[in-house]
Amino acid sequence: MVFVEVPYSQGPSFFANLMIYHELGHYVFEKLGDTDDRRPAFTSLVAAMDRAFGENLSDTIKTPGNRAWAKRVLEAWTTEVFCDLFAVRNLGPAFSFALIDFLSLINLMGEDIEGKFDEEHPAPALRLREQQRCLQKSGWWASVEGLPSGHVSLMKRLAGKAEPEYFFEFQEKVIPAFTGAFLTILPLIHELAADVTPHSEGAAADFAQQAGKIDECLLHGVVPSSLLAEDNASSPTPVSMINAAYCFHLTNLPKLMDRLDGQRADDLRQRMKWAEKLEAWTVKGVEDSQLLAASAKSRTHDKSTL
Amino acid sequence: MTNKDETRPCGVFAREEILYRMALPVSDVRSLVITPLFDRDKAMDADSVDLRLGAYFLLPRSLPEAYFSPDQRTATSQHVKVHVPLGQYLVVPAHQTVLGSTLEFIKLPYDASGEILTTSSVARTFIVVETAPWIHPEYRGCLTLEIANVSNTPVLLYPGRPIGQLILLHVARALEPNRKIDSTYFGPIQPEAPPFKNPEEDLRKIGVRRTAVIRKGIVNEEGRFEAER
Repeated sequence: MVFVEVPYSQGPSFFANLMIYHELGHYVFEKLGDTDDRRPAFTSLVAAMDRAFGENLSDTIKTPGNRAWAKRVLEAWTTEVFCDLFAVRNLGPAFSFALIDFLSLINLMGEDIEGKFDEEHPAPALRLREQQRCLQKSGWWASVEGLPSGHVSLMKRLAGKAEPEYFFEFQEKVIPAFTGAFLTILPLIHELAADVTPHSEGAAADFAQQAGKIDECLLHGVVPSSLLAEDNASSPTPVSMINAAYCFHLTNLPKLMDRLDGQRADDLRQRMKWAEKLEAWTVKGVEDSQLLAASAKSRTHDKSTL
Repeated sequence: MTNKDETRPCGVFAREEILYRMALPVSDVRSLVITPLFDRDKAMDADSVDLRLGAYFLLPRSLPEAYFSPDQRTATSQHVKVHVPLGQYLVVPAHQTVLGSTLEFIKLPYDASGEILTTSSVARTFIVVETAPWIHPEYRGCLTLEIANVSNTPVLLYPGRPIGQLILLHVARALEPNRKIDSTYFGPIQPEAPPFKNPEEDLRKIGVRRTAVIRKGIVNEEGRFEAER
């Protein structure tokens, strides 16, 4: 069983709940380490963690207790970044947007603390930088980098943040060797995330092809499952629907409200209502997509058993 | 387009017109959306489209008061929302009504009204989709259905099964570009409780200055009535 904690105010929000993919990543990472027949990418990552510790920290951290603690910190950071990348590979930029909303809600996105690592988590700035790199590699970034959205601008700024601005404080003392060691592990985390999510190749291309049509549906208050074909051949995937809807949420909600009688985008209560509607249409689109896929499969099965 | 003399089609949409309207892009005011539509050929008759029962319901709740007053405060407290996943069933007790919705999300064209009728096979089980079956032009959303069991026996409802037929009718109407759309019932995907105003607000609009109301409250220590906020 996986227990996921989301702030009570965000419980009903579909977009906020996209962060569950990160938590699923924890489960996957644990399973990757449990098996006797470990993936080469996982073995390389473990070796890189040992090497990073040996080359950067073993001279300064001497006692067995402190060494064990330092390794635990590096492992926790590695796990967190893996989970982020696992989520981004599965879900695309919608995960990063949801994470930005979440971290902002709990006050971790201020410029003074965005570079701060704690014992469990790498700095938000670094997490989002790695997600942006992953989005770039998997082809998503080209489709969203031009969005007129604060979320995208923030990711661009964080992608260019200088590495010396990351810091890890322990007992009120900054220890630069820790962050230096961790930075050497990052490429191996990307490799492992890509290795366990081969199914996500092509998701960005589908989004690039279908986002405009999904956007058009949402702008007219229509559930995007209207684009689904019965044979599923030319239908947008649920991942494309979710990402297009999140992009719509970030950029086009006022346009939708402008089409409706008596609705004003600067009225917070009204804006919330339409944001909730947008989420509902997205959920319905995803549900419909699953139903149509199951129905098409069932019809194929019926034909083959005749 | 305000050419009043133009001959406009009238009557019920035939299958061919339904298909033509469904093929138009969603941005076209004449477009029709019905989604998801399983097995299109079987779902359509010569002049209607079969609709299925959705998975969300509003069940009537027993109220703490001996009455139900449709006003701003109580309108949302009348129902309990229930989700019945596909493959499961909802029991509708004898002589009770529940609110359900269609599985299909619908967008009507600007020049068509719709009517939902109980599928004849369902009607013969004494289940009736009641009283507010009319759908206005440009409506979009899953249709809220008042589903009444008028029999003497509890009846099982299975989400995903056919429940009604959608009939579309032409409305002679001129195109009004950039017209704002009414947002009251815009885009629901589940049955929705009605958004009431307080009765005195509605009646004041037609000149009624005094309205009898029942308000909950307490009598305070000084013996004065304080209405519950």
